[in-house]
Amino acid sequence: MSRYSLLILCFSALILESCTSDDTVSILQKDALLPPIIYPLENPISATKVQLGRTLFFDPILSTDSTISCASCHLPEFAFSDTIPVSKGAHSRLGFRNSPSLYNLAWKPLFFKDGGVRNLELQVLAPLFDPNELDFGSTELVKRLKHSPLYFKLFQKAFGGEPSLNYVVKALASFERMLIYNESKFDLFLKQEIMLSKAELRGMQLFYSPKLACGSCHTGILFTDFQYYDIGLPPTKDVGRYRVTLDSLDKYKFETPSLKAVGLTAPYMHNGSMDNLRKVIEWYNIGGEIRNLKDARIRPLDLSKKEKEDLLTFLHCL
Amino acid sequence: MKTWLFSFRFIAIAFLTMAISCRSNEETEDRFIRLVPHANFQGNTEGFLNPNPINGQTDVLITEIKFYVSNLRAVATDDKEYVLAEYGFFDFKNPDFQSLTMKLPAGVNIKGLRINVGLDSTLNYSDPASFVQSHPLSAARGMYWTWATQYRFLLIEGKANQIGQIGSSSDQVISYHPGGNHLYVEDVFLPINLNVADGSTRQVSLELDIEQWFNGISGSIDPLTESNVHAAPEDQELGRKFIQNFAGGMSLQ
Repeated sequence: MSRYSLLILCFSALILESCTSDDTVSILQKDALLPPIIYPLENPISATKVQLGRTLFFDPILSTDSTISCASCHLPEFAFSDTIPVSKGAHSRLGFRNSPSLYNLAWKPLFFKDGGVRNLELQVLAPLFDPNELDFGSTELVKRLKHSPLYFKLFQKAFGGEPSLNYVVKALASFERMLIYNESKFDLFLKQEIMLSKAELRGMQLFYSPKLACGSCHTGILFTDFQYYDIGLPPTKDVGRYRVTLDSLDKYKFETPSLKAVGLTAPYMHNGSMDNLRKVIEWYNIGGEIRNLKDARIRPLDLSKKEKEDLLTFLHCL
Repeated sequence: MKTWLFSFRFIAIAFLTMAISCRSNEETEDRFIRLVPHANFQGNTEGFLNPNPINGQTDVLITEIKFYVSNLRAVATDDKEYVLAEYGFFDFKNPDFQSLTMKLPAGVNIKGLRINVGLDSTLNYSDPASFVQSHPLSAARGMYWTWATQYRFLLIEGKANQIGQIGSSSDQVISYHPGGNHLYVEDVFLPINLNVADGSTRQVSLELDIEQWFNGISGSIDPLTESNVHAAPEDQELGRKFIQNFAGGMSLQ
């Protein structure tokens, strides 16, 4: 069975497991590694909403020219990310940043790499309306969905009403909130179900060592502190968090990405400028560009070839 | 039994008639103001969809005007303020948003309105998907910045070119979309002597002087070289100037 099929199977099993017949969800709280999910009061989880969200997610009906769906840039087999630096949207228009993985969004406090969006429901609006993504006005979108007998039925089932932007947003957010990845090799190691190899263990020790301190930002079970740092990447016109806060101290700061399933999410960095993990490790080893506001932890590491290989092996376990 | 039923019906109808007539009496005593925005050039000619000669050098053709105002208050002659509406939205191209009708306080002489341009931080924090399509704060208005989860306060678009050149291929597209809590303009006083008879509605024109957008209280803006305001950090100074000029160019007639 291919890696893709396995992932889809695991993912479907998660959804099925989490949705009970009385339309309530007893989701994954039995996993001791993950914190409990706090569902928004205005969008409680339900199996019918997740099902509708899943259908919408994979349907090009959501793009103005009906050519792409959410899944076109968030491919399940790549941890719901894309394989190219910047994805193309409707009418083949180029997007703005690298398409991120959608795993474990349930615990994310802010959205986008600059933290400009404050919850998952509002995040869903952005690609729907962005001319470089799905490029849809809400009126046309709702009109199109109302004409579809399938969606008319699914919306009735999920919300007891006809399609509306509010329901589209809530259904997609409900589906995305359920994209949970907690079965990596490292997860199983933490659950004491398997043992890591010697190289993986050496990589883990390096990752958490004071010398590298990767774990100081890529922290916790989700491997992120959800904070924003300038890590000394070559500057581009994308100014990062500065765009949101308008505080020049935030220039070129981007959110620490989660490293869950990082082996599947190439290319890397906010602009997809590094096409594999070796390049990322090499770049951290050099210590980035010299800049005043660069985070002090980004400095030359003087890693040996073997250390780089061990680190790479460990990253692939996540 | 029949007689009792007949009496009950009669009493019920009588009560209903009294209730309806009382209500309509109350309604007829209410006074309203209907605010209708209108764009002009230097207070005279029609400004929307016509070339406006800014500084006698540059023609500016405005093709889109949408904006939010909030905390609309009536100012009485004794300086006491009365809240008329929490917010209003105007869109020159959408007939549903070309006026705002507000109830005036009873028995008060009004010398003007005080308004804020934009949305206060609470309204600006709204979820646009939670409103029905026809709502002023719905995403359907095209005023929401999805990437920053807040609203544009103004959306002014059009073209600019040398005098007499507008409509040619050398037109400069202009688009001014200032927004964000830091660009909220508060307490713009718009004087007007409002004598509104009980039971009637007075239509008042909210005049927007396009000349002042480019040559106003916060300074000059060259539409050919300062043609865009969006959310980028480097746009903020121009955005502040534009929205203050916009507010300064408002008057009531």
